[in-house]
Amino acid sequence: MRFEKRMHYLEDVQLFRYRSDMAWYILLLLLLLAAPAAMGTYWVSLLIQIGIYIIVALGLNLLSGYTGQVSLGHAAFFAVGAYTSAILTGKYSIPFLLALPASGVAGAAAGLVVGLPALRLKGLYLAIATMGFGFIVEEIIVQWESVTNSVNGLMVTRPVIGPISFQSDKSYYYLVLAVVLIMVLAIKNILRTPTGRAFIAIRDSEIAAESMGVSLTVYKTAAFAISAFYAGVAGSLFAHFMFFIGPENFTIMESISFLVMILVGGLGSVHGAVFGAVFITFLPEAISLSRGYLPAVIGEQAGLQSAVYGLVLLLFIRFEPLGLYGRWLKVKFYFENFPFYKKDTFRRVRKFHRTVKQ
Amino acid sequence: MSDNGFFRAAGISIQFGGIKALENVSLDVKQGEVHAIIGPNGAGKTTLLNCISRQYKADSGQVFFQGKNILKLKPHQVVSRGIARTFQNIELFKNMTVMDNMLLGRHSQRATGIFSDILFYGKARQQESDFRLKVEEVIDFLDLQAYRNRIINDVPYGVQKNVELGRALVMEPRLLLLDEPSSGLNMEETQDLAFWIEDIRDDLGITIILVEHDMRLVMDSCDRVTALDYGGVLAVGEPKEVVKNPDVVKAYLGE
Repeated sequence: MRFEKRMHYLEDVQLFRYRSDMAWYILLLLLLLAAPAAMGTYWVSLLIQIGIYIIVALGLNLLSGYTGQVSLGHAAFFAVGAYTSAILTGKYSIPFLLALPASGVAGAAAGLVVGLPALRLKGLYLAIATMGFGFIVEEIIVQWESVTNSVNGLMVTRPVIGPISFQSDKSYYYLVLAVVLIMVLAIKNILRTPTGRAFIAIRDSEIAAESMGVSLTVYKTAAFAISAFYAGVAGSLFAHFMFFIGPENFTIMESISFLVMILVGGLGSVHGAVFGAVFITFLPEAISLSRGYLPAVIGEQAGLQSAVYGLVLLLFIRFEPLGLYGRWLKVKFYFENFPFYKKDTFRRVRKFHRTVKQ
Repeated sequence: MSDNGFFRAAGISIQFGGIKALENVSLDVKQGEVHAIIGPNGAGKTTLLNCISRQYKADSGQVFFQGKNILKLKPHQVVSRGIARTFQNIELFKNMTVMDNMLLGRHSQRATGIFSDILFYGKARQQESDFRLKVEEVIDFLDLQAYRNRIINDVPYGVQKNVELGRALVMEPRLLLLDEPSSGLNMEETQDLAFWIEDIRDDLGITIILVEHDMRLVMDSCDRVTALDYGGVLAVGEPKEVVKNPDVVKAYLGE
């Protein structure tokens, strides 16, 4: 058991609650910094992919996990970011350092376009609307040949910032790592200030949020814009990582895997976004590895991956709605309060006194 | 400020389909008083409150608060004019801690934008600290210390009621609308509430409009009463007079 003695109000919202937490995170950072030296290129490229997914998942989690607005169209914002960056750096030779935030801003602008009409939609209907937006963007990419080069896609180069070239995977890894750290810090700051609390308030009760002075219009669109900004930045990193982007990178399947990421990782937690990104990156690898061992009837099915996604999603929603992060909390709680863990500690309490449906 | 200019609702009507929930209702509240709205079920008490806080859009009528018509404002704008409210069926943020719920009460006082929040430096940092200072004051006032970091879902009903009252007080309103603050509370909790209502009026200088069924609470701590029935005003006056009013007696007990 640990006891806390707080001397200042801001200790409530500090990034690391305990000294030991800080030590662990510094250790993790050191490991991440040393990783490329110890790993093969294949593993480094997986880590880069994880980093890119973490950024998308952070944004989507802010929108869906914290603000409660489901989006099935995040691949579209991802695409907007990727194409913005590819076109700016490719056609107009704008430096990457400008193109990266510009992709975020382009994503955010797309987010505003979706966010404003989405104000009137809730739940499933919002999911359908955002999914529709995803299809529209995919179709625009295919049809707008003069800009996007249609199905032939665009070639993208690795960025060069000043004297430093990020040509190799190992150097690009550090670039992605730096961006991920900035994005994590930003989202942590949003969540510990009035902005983040307003987002969560909207999720829990729109009526109460409004009567606290939270403008639903402003904050719902802001959530969409920030979330799409994250997807846009990630899209830019993705484009420069892949060397080549085409419409097939941004299908509905991609949107679904983003959603699976935050559901499996844990809705409404920053850790969850990270866990989910790691999980979703390794899942296809595990599936393709296991194909060899499965009976041919199953192993050679084209839809195996989608089926596994669906199964994983179902199992998590049924048995661990809080996702991997929830499981992580439980394990931590078990060890911190060693002999006192009870199975019911985390059981959801059902309450019946609410009589009015929102 | 002159007394009769503080809060005045005049000629409020609202209709849901064929039902006239409120018809030409007027309400005058003086600064510094506790004003109760009573009436049988379905009389339109909560509807009146919802019209004032703009959850419902009144079909006609005017609501003047400190000389300004607030009936044109959006619900979230009413708050910044200094009107806070609580709900009959607790509307707290269930998955947040007591602390975070009350911090949301400060939302209307925020001076930082989204961008300075992202940086969390200087003003945003100071603001966060100041918000907590105010919340701690209210926590002390309502004896909520033990629940500070508990999730709302895990706290008993009575405490949730207090947190909701606290969240409204954190806003430092000039007018507080309480919708059945004592419903679901036991005797002891209701007594605490009666004391708090007096303290809120006398020490914090907040004017209160409350919808209430518990007549003892109304008799003890309210200065004036408006009785409603079938969307119309039956009687206005001191509690003692109003309960003797034959129309009011008839509405509650029948002929």
